[in-house]
Amino acid sequence: MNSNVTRGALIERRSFIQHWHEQAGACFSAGTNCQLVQHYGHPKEESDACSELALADLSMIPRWGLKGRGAEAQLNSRGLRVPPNHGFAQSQDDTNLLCRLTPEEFLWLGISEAGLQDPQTHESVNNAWFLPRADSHCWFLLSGRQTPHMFSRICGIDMRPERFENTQVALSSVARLNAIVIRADVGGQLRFHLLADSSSADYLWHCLLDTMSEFGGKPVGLSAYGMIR
Amino acid sequence: MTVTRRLSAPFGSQLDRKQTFEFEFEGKILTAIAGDSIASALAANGHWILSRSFKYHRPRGVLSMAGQDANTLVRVNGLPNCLADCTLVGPGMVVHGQNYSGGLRRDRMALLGWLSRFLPVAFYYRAFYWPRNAWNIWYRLFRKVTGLGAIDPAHVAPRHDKQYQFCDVAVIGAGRSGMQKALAEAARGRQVLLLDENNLMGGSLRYTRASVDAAAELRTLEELIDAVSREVHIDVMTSAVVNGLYTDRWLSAVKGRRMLKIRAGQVALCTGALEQHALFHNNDLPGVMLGSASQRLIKFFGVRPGQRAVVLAGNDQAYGVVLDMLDAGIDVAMVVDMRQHVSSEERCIAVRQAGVEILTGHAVFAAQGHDHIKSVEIRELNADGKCHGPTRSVDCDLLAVSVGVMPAWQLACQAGAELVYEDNNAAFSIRGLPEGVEVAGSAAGVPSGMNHPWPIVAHPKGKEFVDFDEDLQIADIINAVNEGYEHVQLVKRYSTCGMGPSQGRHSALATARLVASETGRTVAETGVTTARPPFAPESLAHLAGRSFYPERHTAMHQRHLQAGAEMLPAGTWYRPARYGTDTDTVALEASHVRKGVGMIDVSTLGGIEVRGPDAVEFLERIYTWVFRKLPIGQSRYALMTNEAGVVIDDGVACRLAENEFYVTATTGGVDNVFRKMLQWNAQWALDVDLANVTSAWAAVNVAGPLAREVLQAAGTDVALDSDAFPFMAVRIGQLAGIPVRVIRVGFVGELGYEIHVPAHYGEALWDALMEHGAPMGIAAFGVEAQRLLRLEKGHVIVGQDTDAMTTPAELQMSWAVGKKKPFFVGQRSLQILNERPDGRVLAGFMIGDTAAPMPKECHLVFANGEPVGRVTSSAFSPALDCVIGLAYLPAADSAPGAQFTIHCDGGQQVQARVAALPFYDPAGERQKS
Amino acid sequence: MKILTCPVNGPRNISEFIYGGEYHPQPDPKQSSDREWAEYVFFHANTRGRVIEWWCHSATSVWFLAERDTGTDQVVRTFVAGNWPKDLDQSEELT
Repeated sequence: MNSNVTRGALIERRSFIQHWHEQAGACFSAGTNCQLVQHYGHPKEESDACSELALADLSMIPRWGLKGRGAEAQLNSRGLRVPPNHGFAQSQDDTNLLCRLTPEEFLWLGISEAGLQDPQTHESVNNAWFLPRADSHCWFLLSGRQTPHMFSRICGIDMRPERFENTQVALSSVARLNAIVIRADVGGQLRFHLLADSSSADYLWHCLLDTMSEFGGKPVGLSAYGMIR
Repeated sequence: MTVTRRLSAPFGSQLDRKQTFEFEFEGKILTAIAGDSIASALAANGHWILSRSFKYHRPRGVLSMAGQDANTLVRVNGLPNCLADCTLVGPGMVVHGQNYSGGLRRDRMALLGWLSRFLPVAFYYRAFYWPRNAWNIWYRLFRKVTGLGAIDPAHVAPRHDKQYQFCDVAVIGAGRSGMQKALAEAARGRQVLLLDENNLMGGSLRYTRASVDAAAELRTLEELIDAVSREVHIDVMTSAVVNGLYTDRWLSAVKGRRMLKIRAGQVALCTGALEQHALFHNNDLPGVMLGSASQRLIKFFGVRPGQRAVVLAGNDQAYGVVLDMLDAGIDVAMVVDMRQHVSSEERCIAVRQAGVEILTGHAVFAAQGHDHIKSVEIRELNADGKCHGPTRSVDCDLLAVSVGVMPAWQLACQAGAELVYEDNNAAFSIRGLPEGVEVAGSAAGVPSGMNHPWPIVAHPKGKEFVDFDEDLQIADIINAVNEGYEHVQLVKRYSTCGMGPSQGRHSALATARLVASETGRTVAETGVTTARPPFAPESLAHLAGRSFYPERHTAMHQRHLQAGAEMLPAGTWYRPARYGTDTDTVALEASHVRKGVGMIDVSTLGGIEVRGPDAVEFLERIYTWVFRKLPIGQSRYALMTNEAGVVIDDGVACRLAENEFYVTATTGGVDNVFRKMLQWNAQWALDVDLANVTSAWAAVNVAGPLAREVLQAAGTDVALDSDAFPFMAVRIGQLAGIPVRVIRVGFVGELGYEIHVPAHYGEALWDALMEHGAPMGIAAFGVEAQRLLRLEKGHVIVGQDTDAMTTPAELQMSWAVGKKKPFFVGQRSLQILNERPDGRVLAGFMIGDTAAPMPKECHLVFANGEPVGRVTSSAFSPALDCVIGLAYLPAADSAPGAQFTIHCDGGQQVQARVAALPFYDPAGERQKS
Repeated sequence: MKILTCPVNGPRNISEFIYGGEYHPQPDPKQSSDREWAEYVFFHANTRGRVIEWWCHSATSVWFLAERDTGTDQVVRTFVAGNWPKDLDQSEELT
């Protein structure tokens, strides 16, 4: 357990499934204004699970949206690499992802936690409207070669790796929830980011755990992905 | 019992003879070999009766041996209606027959067979019109005798689920043509999904005898299976029944406990053909079976279906059946060929050379036996297909019928194709398939020569069964036609023919022939009834499967649970109804708000951001009131009507900046409101951005005389005194270190602040308010107290107090409708409606009599003995110490002080008095303090 | 299950969409008589043949129009309101 955070201390931002993490015996590490799940007590097994089937809660990691006919220009002016086509994500130099959901709507995922508190990102200017995706959506990461099979139980989109290519983005229904699914492999490992309405985080989390059980999938902390140490 | 009817290898291709085990049937312990179906294991043990028929309780046994008939429905380990010919036996399995009383072999209900002439076609439809309440007397008996199988209420279905699957080409049926089709598509680089209902590929190659050289056929089979198995582009899925083919090549299939929903780029139907039965007296006796069924027993399970057989032939395929029987050491007493001449096909020649007696131009007139066939009666057929002349009786314990086949047409016809029949040669074909669906092999058609055109032999005593499921005989079909139901679809509905579990697989053709003959039309003109999914019976567990019911929780959900709240579903949301179960909990929560301070989680309230140069213009068009001059930092009530002028939602619009508004909407209405806003702007094309941010914000309403102290104690950079932060103002700042938007709204009629925070701060906000509000005695209140408090203020709940006709004027809310606006969505309709006199009004009422019963919503209001309105809300108000409520009244009778009568439960009448709204604090001083 | 092609998100199962009713343009509220207005609000042509309909992709809240044959249930094409095909008359109902 990380020494600089004691469990149960006052934290301001809390994941909608914080109670689940605590009950599952999570070890936390301090994030910005929040706690991040480091692991659930079995770092080695969790790390191994990532290449088979694993699920992690990234809801406390920064993200935002930008929308409007000026959004693309705005993102360009901030030096971001904008995906040319909608339905695709573009990895940024610092491994953050910029996803183009529709021609005029973007989602930035701060996977590396760098470039985090850019106050500029919260402003709406020149027909580019800020969207509070960090709060409207929960964010889960699924990884491993079994992930497409797992998705076939809950989502009507063909997620097989040869059909749903790396960096592809789908806005569809997952377990009857409106959801954003982004494939962003790392080092040849299949990874899917799943974002859905934050108020349904608890429902979706349990739904995913239940579906994963058929494949022996596991919930894992962020250290399994090397996202925190 | 030892296994004595078994044949040695190569017969019994499905069996693993190294493993044998015991199972229980009707209380007896029997032995089975691994790979046996229940029906084959029973046959090997000499048990042929599997069930009793639906209506006459006749003994029934193996007919198709392919799961295509309902004869084999048995109860397996408590689960009713399992197909005994498809379900593999497992060690220790407990199997029971169905639909009998007393014993399967001696069914007391078999008596009904003797009463058959008093149970005419459409018995149920006709018998109980007279006397008038006849049905009420009879139905108790029917409930007992009808229905198939018994449900074990204690049975818990194991987990079933659903799965999506995708492929370039779905090939249905892994027989010869299916495997060939799959190989051809795979060779073109297509990803193929090859499905088959059987547990092994091969289809009819595994059991029919297409030529004399059985070994050559086996080689073909092995070569095809080998090629398919080696092809990486083919995924094989066996034991999967495709039950539906829907629009755009969407297939539903059942495999084990899973339902598959398959989207295919292309579909190839290689479903083969279904062998058809012949009609003669007692054609349902156990021991009478389709030729293919006898072949399946021999080849799949190594079970000799009889010792001495008669084969009824209508085509050359029957001679393949005979050859297989001879190979299995069965004594074939005779081939009765309904054709005038036997063809010179090699199988026919081989049978003749084997010395089997062949009787051409004859038919089986009747099968005889009590619960198993003992002999057949054979008569000569004349030119018009009727039997005549002397009867010849031949002893046998097996009658195999091979007179014709029908393409397995169901999936093709589900997809919109038509099954075509040619009367001159009894050939079938399929036409009119939708794009992307093709058909191959025998499913595509049955050529001339395969079908005997009239394998129907009527008998003076009847019992020539057309439909085994429903016990329908030739006379039943003919009577249905004679009673005026000439269309085959009407015959089906009137007689229930084809409506049983086998869905007309064996009865459709015979019915069409009988109806055609009786109405003087051709079979082609008569047609068959519509094929609808599912092809094979589907269990409710499959349909229910794994279902998804999304739930929405607020950020403070855990806190509510910890505080003992009773949660109330509100759409997909869950909200605290009240904190505690005492009878006065709600009244106490409400009083606490009026006298001290309370807080309620209002995160479920809808939130929509309206931003852009045309934001004001957009709101002016969408809502009834005016927003152009609303100052920044102020909010205003927003009422929404549809094009018919009907109130559909309400909320508060906050102006955060010149071109930025944050608009709230009702919990249940926001998704619809947001969608409707987008639809309007798809037409107006105003320069405005709309975003549904409901889930992005958690919100708590702190209400009561001490509300300001609570916010102060929590620590905030927002100036809270009334001059700096007046009623209906909006402020952005920080509270307890959390970024907030605070709206000073009336809500429950007290000094109140609605604090909106980014959703992930919701729990922290709740904790902070609880902690810092403790010295002020803050307590949470639930939705029920909120409703009471709001009713005391005369606030309307859209959906509860409004209906599909309610206008703003009826709600006495014309103040919220801009008079000088050029346009808003409901404006034109309201101009028309407001000119109409004598409308209704939603008025407040009070009931002085404390002993009177409490009216409930939808209780009627009466005037002069006529219903003139209804109650929409009511509650006991602790603040006013009487029952208050809202009711629709005629406008003329709605002046405060007017008396009216409400009819309550049990016809009790209650006198109510119209009261001015709001009931509580009419001047609104408390919320503005 | 039918596939409907959203002009923004591409082909999807029809269960992802919400039907928004037949498209018929609003008459000028200032110019229309009470009767004309009431017919616009309450009457629908219920045409057999090609009609233009509103559909919404619920996962993204994208509204678009579909030209559909109500007799055959064939969707001829879909487009967003701002990209109205030139060969389709936008002002009148199709018959």
